[in-house]
Amino acid sequence: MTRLRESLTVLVFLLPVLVLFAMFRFLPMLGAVGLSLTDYHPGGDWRFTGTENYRSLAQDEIFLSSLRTTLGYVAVYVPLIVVVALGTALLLHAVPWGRGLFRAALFAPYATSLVLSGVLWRWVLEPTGFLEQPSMVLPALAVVGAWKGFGYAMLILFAGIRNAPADCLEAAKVDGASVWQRFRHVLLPALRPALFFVVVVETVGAFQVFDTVYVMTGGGPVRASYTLAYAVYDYGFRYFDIGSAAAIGVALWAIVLLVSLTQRRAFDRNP
Amino acid sequence: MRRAWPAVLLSLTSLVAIGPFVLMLLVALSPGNAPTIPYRLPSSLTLDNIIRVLSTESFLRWTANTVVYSVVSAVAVLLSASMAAYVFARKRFAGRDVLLWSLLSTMMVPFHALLMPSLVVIAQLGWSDTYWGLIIPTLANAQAVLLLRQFIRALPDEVFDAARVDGAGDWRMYLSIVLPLCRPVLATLGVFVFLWHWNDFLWPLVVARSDRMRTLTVGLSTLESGHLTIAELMSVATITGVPCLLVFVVLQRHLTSTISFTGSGR
Amino acid sequence: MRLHRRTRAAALAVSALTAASLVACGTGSGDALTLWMYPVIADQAQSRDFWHKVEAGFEREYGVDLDIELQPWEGRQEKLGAALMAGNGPDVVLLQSDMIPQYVGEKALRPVDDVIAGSSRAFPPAVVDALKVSGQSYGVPLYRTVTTTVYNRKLFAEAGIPELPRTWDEVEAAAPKLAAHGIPVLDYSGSTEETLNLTFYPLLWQAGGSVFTADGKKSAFASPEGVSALRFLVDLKAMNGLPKDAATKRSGLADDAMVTGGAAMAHAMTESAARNVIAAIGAQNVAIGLPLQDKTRVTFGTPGGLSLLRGAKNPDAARKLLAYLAAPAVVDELCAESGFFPPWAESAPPSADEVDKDFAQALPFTSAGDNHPQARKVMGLLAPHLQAALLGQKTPERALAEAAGEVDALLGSGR
Repeated sequence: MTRLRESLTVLVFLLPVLVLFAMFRFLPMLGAVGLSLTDYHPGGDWRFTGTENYRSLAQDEIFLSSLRTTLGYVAVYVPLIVVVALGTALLLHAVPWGRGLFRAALFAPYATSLVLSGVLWRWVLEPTGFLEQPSMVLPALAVVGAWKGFGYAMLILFAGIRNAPADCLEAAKVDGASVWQRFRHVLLPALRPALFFVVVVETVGAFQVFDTVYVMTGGGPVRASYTLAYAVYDYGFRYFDIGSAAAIGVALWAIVLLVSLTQRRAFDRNP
Repeated sequence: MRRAWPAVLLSLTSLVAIGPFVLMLLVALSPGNAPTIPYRLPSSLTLDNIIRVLSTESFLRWTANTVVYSVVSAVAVLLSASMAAYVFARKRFAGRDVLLWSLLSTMMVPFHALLMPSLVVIAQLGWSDTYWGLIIPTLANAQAVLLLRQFIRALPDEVFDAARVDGAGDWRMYLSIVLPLCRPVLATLGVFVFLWHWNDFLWPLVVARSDRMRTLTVGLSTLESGHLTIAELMSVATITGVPCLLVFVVLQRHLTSTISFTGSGR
Repeated sequence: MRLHRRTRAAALAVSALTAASLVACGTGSGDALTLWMYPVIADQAQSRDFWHKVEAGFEREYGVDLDIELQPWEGRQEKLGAALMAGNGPDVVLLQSDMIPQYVGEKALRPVDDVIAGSSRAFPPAVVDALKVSGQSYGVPLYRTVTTTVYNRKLFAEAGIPELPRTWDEVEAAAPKLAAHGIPVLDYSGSTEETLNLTFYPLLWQAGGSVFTADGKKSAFASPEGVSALRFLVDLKAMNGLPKDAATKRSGLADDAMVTGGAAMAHAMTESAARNVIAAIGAQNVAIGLPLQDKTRVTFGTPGGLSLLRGAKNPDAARKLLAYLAAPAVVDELCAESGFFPPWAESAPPSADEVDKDFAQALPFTSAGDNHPQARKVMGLLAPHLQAALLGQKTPERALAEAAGEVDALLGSGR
């Protein structure tokens, strides 16, 4: 009887989320998979083509290079934003006064228009010429992206730091532990759940980077910043090659899922 | 001296962070057509540009739509996600982790790929051009579920055990323990869900057919005909950006409530 | 228990809400005819008034309910594409001549030759042809735009150049003098988000080249003419005659090179951009000239046209709408308010203002470009190669040849 009641409770708690996701995430995802198996023309005819889209993508140099580009971006962006967010969260914690003021200032990039940020950063980066060099454009975009988005991760990590057991930290300080030791052995373990969240979510977000690319480089120079999500937009909405765009979306989904599950295993293994 | 360096570092970082926002404000308040880059401080500040944008015919309607969109979404996401997160964090059942990761995997599809199928679902439900169609699909927020699950997992078992000894059922535990203890995270999440909805462009663009269903971002973009001046463009950006910052500043105090598990916290 | 009752009430409320929501219907316009229009008229209030008037006039004359929905320029491809898939697109929509072939290729439009034939005034063949695909008309002309050369007189005077350059040779001659003052002579936006119709293609056409072969089956830009056009740009860049970030720059209001004094001239500027420049640096410093000349004098200008969607629920009423909108009464007033040029054979400038007159002089030289269903994809393939040439990674010959290889592969695959 209690087991049934327990299961019912679980179901009731999960119900809103289950219904929402089933109808508005899984169903469209199925739709996207379906589209990827067709040659769809909006407002017109479509025909079933099976795995043709996937096969031609596998040979499409533009798609393959966008895959490499995206991986490159993720590799720079995720460490960068985690370090910046963690750093500022720790600094916020260490500052004795004015936290509210600093927090508001650090949050401001989130509220600044993306178009303006794009214009400004282009101006800042112009003397360096980074946005014209295929080798430097990804790090440059990662910096702009991290600047725009670190407020979110910072606040999450800050909340996590607040949850760290204060008495442990005090005891460690009394025992003569250095700042680094306190960080490594008390704070970091306490931050693990928050850190896991930040790493996974920022990785997922980085794989889907679109806005910064759209506003600042349009995928250039010479496709050096042509990421997978940008390819979905390009193929789907500039060329109306919707089947291929959906296929790229599915491919991206599979890749990100693989990476996230690997990250999860890495976090579970670390003590 | 050691006390000062966090503040110094933080101040520098804050300047880099807030600089562009301040610039946005200044350009919006500049008269005429001051080019943005390189920027010269205007001789006088004027509210004209902002007023002109504010007195657009449907401005109030767009703002009302955006407020509804953002507030309702934030509240609904917090409620639904925290309920699910509680179960994911504290209950064991068959397929729990598989289900959680299935939900998470929905964040991993790029939005443009789901845009068209999502609109088809909305159209089939007859929700095109309505609040339902605008709001409900955006409530499926996997990040929120994961974030809350992480924080609920971090809550110590003692609190729950004590409550169970007192005879509390799941609802009681959810309402009187989980929600209050997660206040900082809920506040953070709430602010950001509000923000994402406030600044959302593509989804409201595609769902709203008529002008009266448009949100602020979409409505203001109809003003851009290629004849806008920089100051007007930045006024538009300011009008969308300032409320975000205000909401954040106002709700800040909830972000800071100390939760200390030694019982000596507030 | 108090809590129990509260939660039970909440659960009931939630389920009632859910049930109600699933039953709720959208308040669609149902049987009304729908037209999607964009901010052709700059001032929002004026735009609304004008289209309300048009809506009322049509409803009065034909007794058919009409909804004119004003959409933003931003995201229009996404919105139209998504609406077409969901089946709730408009009946009639405004499309530019370079977009029409793509939609025809997607089988989303119906021919409108009958509406054009039935028009009371004659359209010049060039305008009608620009909106044709495979010999059938898919757009009823509503207005024409034109682009031409705009100069910053002051910068040229300060560099000691008495006459404004009107040919490629003159531009190249002026470049070093301006570069000595740190000013690039020509503005160029090489971002792949920019349409080549406003950047590279006018130069290609001026050199006597074209994008596609006459039958549209192969590319034609990797010709000596194409190379000469690209070499013109590359040589200018080498002399600091183009902005430093020309290869990746976007043209934008916020940092338009001519507004900030970062370039002395632009070769294919739209009228609204020109007005922006005039407002920024003063009318006395701006000169508007004819399009540049190399082998020929030509520039880009596109007619905007109204297209009938295949998914239109009431095509007959939609055709009546097209005829009504294409009538002189509506078109002339639209052009007067928007500042665009009327599509008629005898086109007088809509207003007596100097800027309009200057742009009108460029009208005879406009071309709507090489229309082709794959035109946008071809631009997407060609643009990165142009960037590579501008960045000095490839020679113009090699860049164009490689691009031609990709484009021909695309055109040959028949997709």
